[in-house]
Amino acid sequence: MKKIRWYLECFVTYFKINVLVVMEYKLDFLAINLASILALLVGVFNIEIIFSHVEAMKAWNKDEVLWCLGFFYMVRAIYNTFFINTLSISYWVQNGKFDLYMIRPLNTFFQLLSSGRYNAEYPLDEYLVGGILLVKTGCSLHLFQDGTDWLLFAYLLLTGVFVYFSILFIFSSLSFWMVKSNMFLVMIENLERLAEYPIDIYHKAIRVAVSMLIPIALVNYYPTVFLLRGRDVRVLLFITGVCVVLGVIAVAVWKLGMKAYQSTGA
Amino acid sequence: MKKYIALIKVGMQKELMYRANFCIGIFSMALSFAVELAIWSAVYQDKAEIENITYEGMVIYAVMTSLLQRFLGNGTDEQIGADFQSGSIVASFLTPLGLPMRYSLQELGKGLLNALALLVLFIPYCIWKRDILSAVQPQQWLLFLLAVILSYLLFSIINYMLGIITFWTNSNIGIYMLKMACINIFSGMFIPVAFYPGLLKDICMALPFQSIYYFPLTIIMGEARGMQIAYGLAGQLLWAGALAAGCLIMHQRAMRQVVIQGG
Repeated sequence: MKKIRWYLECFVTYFKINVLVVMEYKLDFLAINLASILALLVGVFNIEIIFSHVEAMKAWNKDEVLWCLGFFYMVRAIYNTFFINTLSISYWVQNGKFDLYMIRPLNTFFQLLSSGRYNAEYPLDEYLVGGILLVKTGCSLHLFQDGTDWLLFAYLLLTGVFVYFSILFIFSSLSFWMVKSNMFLVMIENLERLAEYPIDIYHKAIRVAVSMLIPIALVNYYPTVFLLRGRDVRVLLFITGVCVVLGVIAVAVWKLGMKAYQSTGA
Repeated sequence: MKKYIALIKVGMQKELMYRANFCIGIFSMALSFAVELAIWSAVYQDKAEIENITYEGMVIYAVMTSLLQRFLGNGTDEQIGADFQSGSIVASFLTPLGLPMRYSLQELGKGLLNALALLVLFIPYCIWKRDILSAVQPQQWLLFLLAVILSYLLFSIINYMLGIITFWTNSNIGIYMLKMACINIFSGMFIPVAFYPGLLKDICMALPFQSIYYFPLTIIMGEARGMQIAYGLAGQLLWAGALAAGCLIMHQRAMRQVVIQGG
């Protein structure tokens, strides 16, 4: 118990430092936040504009598509708050600073999570836009009627974050072997564009790829299907199963990666 | 002339330095092209045309907007900002070529290479859909080319201007991100401006971004005809002239007060 509190205190302290780093250039800080809100709103704008000309896209109406997008933003917001710094593995390995993490008294993985400016930079706007979207469309879709709705929602949000984190973490950990693995991350970033819309509109090959191969559709599409399309328990089982598999792979890759790590020298 | 071509070549070589990044850039563009096509075929499921744009027009739009985005790139401002912060911009001051030419021409090389690579990728698709593309008249192609050249000029001027703002603010990541966000909303590169609701459309028309991205596309889609094209070209020239004048003043001021950081 004492240890957990100690780690929490450390996390808060790290977070404060990150906020200070982000706010170093005042004008930049404001502009970055404004820009990232605008960037998030682009997704909403596009959907609004498209649905001002049509009523439905492959049996999905406007509120449902917006809910799907809002869920995605929410997952990303939570991910960005706690896990985004794990993307920097490649950077730390390249300049040899990973050694520092290994010899400090705190847990290596914990240090990886908490140091780096990005968890202070991105999430705020995503909580804002994602939250508004979910509340607004959730009301008109008559979600959140009782406690089970909330429970299921929380569970799906949790699994969504976990899936998203695992995918990115596995690719990020490849830098232990390849040193430069940013290209995979850029690729995943691009795949995210697919997740902004319900995947029904894509070709079958793409649908299979994003639900099995790189299961990015589990982040928001399947939760949306489950919540809005008749609560099929099989969907829930599928999500849980994939979570377990991804978790095992992520832990294994991290363990092996730590063993394979060779210092590049500073 | 020779030195300018050399600069363009340098831009191409720099882009090819990281092959994997280059390939992923192309891949990501192809992916967003696929997304775009999927969205439009879902939208046009049971409609022949929306706001006078047919599905065939949308296909041309999707192809050309991808190429145009690749050709224009993200702009020189980020590079200028980064060079300013690291202090390596001093090397650019010491060479006999002007700062704007140095950055813009390298960017041009990069854009040309990227557009060509994507074009190669698109050839099979274009052959498959050749009856759509063959409907475009030769004079449309010529006017489109002219409009694209003007777009490029206009876009370079804007980027250079935003780039040298760093000389006062010391960091321009925020401005760069703001610019990208504005382009995403107001340029009409994901969704034709014709689809926008009234007020938003008016805002778009008042800003230079639709002149850069959307206007050339309207020519090739057959949206703009006769006088509309003339007005559009005049608009591009007007924007380019006004911004170039502003840019010149800023450039002179910036050169007088630049502080080189680091070493």
